[in-house]
Amino acid sequence: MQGRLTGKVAFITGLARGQGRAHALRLASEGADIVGLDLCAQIDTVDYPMSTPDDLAETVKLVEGLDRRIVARIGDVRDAESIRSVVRSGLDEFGRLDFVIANAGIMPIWGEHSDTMAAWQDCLDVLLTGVLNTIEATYPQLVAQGSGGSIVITSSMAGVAPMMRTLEGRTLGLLGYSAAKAALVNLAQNYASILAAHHIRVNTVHPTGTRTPMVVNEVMANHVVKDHPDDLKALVNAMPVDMVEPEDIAAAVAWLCSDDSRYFTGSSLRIDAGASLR
Amino acid sequence: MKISVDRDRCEGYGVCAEVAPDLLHLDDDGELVVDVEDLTPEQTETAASAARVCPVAALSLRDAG
Repeated sequence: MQGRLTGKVAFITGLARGQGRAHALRLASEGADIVGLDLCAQIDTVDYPMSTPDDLAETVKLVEGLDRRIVARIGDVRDAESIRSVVRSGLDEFGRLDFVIANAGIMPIWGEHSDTMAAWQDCLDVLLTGVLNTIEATYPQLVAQGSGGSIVITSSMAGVAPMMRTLEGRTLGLLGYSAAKAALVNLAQNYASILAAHHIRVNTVHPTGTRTPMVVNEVMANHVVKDHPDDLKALVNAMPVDMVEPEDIAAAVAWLCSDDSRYFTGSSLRIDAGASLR
Repeated sequence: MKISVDRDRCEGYGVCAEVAPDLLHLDDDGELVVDVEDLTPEQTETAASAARVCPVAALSLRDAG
């Protein structure tokens, strides 16, 4: 198989389902082998069901169905050694690393536990420190290889515009989610700056509402549809679609990994169906 | 080559058995059973895939003997 990414290796966090799975399938379909991890367990402040080992197994099956190789582990982005261990496994198998997709995320923004300091802290730990841990565990390998690379960070439209529309919709979890996603832009710019000399590019992607289990679930539906319909305005796109698909974000990630974007770095790429126009 | 199982790590997720059903299975108690002792070269490739996808890195390959 020959593709834009043939012979390359991608490390992906949040691999079990949603955007992480879509990224794995898209990058594999373009020729890359995959290394990655997912928590596959629940975090107390998250009221919707998080990923499971069965989800991770499904990603494995789908990637192998594309005739690509995959190293898939349970791991926690909040734990730097957990990430390093999976990276080492990937290097043992494939001998190189080219792309880093810092994607793992949680969204305890609405629901029973969302308006707590614990939800705020979990957002910072997973979404911000988790990305820091991911990049710190991987960039030295990219530098050492001397052949460039691409780091893609999953931010959000919540990182560039306020998601809150009403006082009733305010939660500490949503503040934590938004603040962490905004901070990722700064993190990306700093890493982009220091890694540019090594042809390692660092960018953020900013999806609008995306049809994944993190967004499409009973907790979200109850909050928005039943209790706080005004908050739906935060998710309105200019284009006539209620959400985008994870594959739409994966297409952008594949472009950011490929040489087609070889001088694109330190940038924020919005895949928002025009949401920022509203 | 042989498949080696770290029993302290194995949680019985069974992802390896899905990837290599001819080499591994979970018994009725959810314990992983290695069905093939000495792997052919082709089986070794499949076993390597199974080791790669173990969520808790409990599988490895070692020289027979």
